[in-house]
Amino acid sequence: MTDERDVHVADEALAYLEGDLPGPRREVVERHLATCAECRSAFEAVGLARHAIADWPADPPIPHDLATRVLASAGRRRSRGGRRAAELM
Amino acid sequence: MTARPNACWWSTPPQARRGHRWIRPPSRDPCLGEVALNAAATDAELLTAASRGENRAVEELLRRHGGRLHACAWRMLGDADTAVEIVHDVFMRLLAKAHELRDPGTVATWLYTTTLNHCRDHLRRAATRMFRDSAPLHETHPDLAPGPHDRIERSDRDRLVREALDALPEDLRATVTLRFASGLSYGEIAEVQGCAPGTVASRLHRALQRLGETLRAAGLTREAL
Repeated sequence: MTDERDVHVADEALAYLEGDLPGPRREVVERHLATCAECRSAFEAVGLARHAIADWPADPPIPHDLATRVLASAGRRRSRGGRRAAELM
Repeated sequence: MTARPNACWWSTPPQARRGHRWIRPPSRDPCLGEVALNAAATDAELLTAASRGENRAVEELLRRHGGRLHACAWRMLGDADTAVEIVHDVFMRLLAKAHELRDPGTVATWLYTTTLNHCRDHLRRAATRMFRDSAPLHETHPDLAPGPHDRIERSDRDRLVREALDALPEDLRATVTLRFASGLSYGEIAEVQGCAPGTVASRLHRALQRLGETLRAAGLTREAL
């Protein structure tokens, strides 16, 4: 029978780091990590990526006039459609 | 992401129900009438009003989703101005297709899916241009190969992260972007990407592991962040 500590846990890195693993499972993962360099490396990679993403520069603000631009374009489209309909009649 | 269950925003206002005379607010368009567009309106209700030409409905939909769609497009493409154009085009398409949306209750899902499709189209066109334009340059101008100066520029942290993200396959990059830039839940991402929430979790894991390995290979450490 395979000891649970021998089963790799790399796939659980994100759930572990986001605190989504239930307590008993966390303990199993931590016991495995203490002896498995491969899974530790995977956990470190996921942790590094999460840190890098958290450190992303803030989103640039959406331009204040975007709604106006959309509305203007929609208005132009409506008037083109209206003209076409009038021409067809 | 499903439509919020709330009172119809076109229903009789409370003061009218209590017997007060309700003075109808001035109408912008006498043919359409004014509607009580507010934060309680569902996306589907706003879309119905927007497709009838109610400007405030478009403004509210943009206020509600524009920022997160822009963040999504910006992370996918790495260019804020192009992201704005994409959000603009997506909303134009939304207004044009409003009558064809089979289930207007899934407006948000449609918005994210369409934004990602626009981003993919843009990336494909850009890749084609890059291939067409850069291949002859590399062949005919070997002096344009990256030099020490470029390597220094590339050591910039944000740029490394940007490049690592760009190096991810499109579906993984979209999953990361929807989760961390737009803040969607696993369930919402599953709706947008047409997969099971478990697949979202698995994609996120693969994406972050690859991203982390790429950053580590480039010399980035948690201490440097």
